[in-house]
Amino acid sequence: MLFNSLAFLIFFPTVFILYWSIPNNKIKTQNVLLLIASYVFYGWWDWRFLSLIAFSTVVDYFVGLQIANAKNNRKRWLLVSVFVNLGLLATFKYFNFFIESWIELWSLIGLETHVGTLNIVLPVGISFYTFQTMSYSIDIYRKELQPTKDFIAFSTFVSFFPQLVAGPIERASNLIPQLLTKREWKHENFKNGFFQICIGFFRKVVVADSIGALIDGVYNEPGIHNSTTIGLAVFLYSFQIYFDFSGYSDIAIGTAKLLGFQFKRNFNLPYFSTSITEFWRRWHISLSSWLRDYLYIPLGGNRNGTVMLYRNLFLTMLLGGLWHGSSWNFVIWGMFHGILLAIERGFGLIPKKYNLFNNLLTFFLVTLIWVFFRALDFGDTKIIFQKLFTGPYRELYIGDIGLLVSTFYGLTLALLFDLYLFRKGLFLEDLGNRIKNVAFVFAISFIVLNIILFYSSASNFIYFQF
Amino acid sequence: MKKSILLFFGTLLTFLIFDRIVTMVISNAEKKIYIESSIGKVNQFIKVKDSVDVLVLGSSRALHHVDTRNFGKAAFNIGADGKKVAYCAALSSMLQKEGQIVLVHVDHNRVFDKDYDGRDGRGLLYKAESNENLSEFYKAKFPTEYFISKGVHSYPYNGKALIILKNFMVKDSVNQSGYEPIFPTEVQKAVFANMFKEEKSQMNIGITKPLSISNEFEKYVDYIQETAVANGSKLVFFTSPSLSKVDGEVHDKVGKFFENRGILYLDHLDYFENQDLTLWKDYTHLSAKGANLYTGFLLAQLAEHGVLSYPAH
Repeated sequence: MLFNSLAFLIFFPTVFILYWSIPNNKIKTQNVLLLIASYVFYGWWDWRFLSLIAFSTVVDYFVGLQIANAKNNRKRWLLVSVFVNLGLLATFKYFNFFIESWIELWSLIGLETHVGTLNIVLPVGISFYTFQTMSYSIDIYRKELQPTKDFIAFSTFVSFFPQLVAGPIERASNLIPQLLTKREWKHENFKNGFFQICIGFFRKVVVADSIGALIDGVYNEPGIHNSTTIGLAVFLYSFQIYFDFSGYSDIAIGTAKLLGFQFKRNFNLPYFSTSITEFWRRWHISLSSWLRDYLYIPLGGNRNGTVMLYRNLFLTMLLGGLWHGSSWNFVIWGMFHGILLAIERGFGLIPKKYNLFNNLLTFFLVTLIWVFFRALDFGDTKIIFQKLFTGPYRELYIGDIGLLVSTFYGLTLALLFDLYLFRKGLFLEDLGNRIKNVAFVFAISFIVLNIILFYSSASNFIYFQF
Repeated sequence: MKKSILLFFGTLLTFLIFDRIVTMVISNAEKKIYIESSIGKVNQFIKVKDSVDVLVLGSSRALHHVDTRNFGKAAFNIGADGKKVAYCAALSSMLQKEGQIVLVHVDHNRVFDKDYDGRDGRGLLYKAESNENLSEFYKAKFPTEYFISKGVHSYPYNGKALIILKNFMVKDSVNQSGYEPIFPTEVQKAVFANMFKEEKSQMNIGITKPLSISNEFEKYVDYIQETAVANGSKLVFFTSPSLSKVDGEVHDKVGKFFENRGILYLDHLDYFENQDLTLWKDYTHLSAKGANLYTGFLLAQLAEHGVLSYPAH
């Protein structure tokens, strides 16, 4: 089910009313309801893949208990969890990629190999829930977390619908305790959550989807467009992916708040970063912190000298790139980020204070690297860079003028709002409650009216494919 | 919780008041627009639909390919960018004039587009309040959207508000025929010439086999035919020339589809056999020169089939 669908607009209020109607907010009953709702939410897309979530849930629930109870075989049980979760990912997400790369590798030296690929659909959100369950087992292994014996609570943790298909990747240490304690209705949660959901919808359906409608044609056929049009598409894609993904996170975090849960912040105005290092502290925070805690630090982090530090940064970002998708373009995207992180660290290029020049330079670099992320393949990436750097810059191709005007209107509003948050040092997560009731009523009315007048037709969230 | 419920309903009430005020402003401005863009053209269409003898409906290919000034009768071209058969059906629901000639442009790939959901048909929802037949059309074909528009009045103006306000303030001349010729710029000519060097023509773009007629397409063609029968109109579906070609199987299947319904269908996709680039803006759109030549041929064909009683100019 998509957040930006009529089905969700009926689904969520129904769940919300049932959830808060349960007498005495009984935890067990509420968790059962959330579990059923989460499976309905996911099954709406394809019910067959519910079995994968259920499988991953059962394995990690059992493994978690075994790790905590075992005296000698703790590592072996941990490997079961890692093997199962990475195995699911390898099969459903990377199998064909590895096979095709293997064939291409041999073809480079003139040898022809025949290995069959699988005709499989990538299950939505698999990268998110496998990382979430894996971190649960790792935390127990590290003795940073006690396993839960409550199977319903654990299953709800794995499949909780606000964050199931595109994150944020919630840690068990944050979510499971909340699932085991009584949720109380709080007016401030209502204001914060409601406000964040509205902002999320605006970011997604007004800004990101309009940009998508405008630039998809350019990215799908870069060969027929001139340098000016490609330049604009590259510039706008930076905002499309930001508002698409942060919009999704806002709806997820806000929805969870309305149900009495607190998720961690996932975006913190990343385009105001003055270095790539800072960018990764502000962008997709739940993934970057996951990679830091479960990959970068286990690899050695910065503990084994400068060369190893660079290697670890590079490897972490490379694998982070591959996490996003089974294509060499994602690997290269991650690789560039890894190189830039290493350069910043090596040459001490991370500013201590905000300055506009570094902000613009960082944005420029991030924007260029996004090309690898969005281009359909490496061939298109080459065409785009060739046109960007060689020109000639001729007249801009404008498809639908109405769409262009609406897009820039929405983008301007969204950027001004971000600028306001940045200048005032505010966080969206607790902004709703800071606004007085009368202003709140007018602000929400204004946002919703703009959503209705300027939303672009429904399209998938970009991060669904990961 | 009471505080939150109160705030929620307060917000809802304020939003509904906002919604009514904004819709009133936009709707009043919209009614006064008769210039370019789909909004102004629709108003022009509503103004002339019961007086003209010929109407041309369809996408940008209808808009740019049929020069209604050459018809010798009162004619109006209501073709618009991105519009497909559902939009044509919505337009046809408003027609009342007896004996009118209704030409509907159709592209071969649209006939077989399994993903087509008739979304373009929602484009006239904002006019449903002012036309009873159109209102019935939306009740029957788009009940959810119709229902939402009853509660949230601004909903039908999605994507139109800024264009309405801009056109309300900018005065421009009214286009009486609806037809919009294309005069390619030098850059467009050069770009297309380059593309054409690589690929002389395209084949079966957007068509997957085995061929299967889209249910939505069928549904709206039936609706247009029912309306034409009720009005005693002469209904003709046609496909204008394109460099994006289809194979014989596609031609046959589309031809049979209309033949089985007793609808006259003129398939002119391959009319321009020579590859004179001055006739084209791109693979699917004719230049003004190409449109002028094609309109002459279309008129002759209509005369030959007894739709028009006079030969082409």
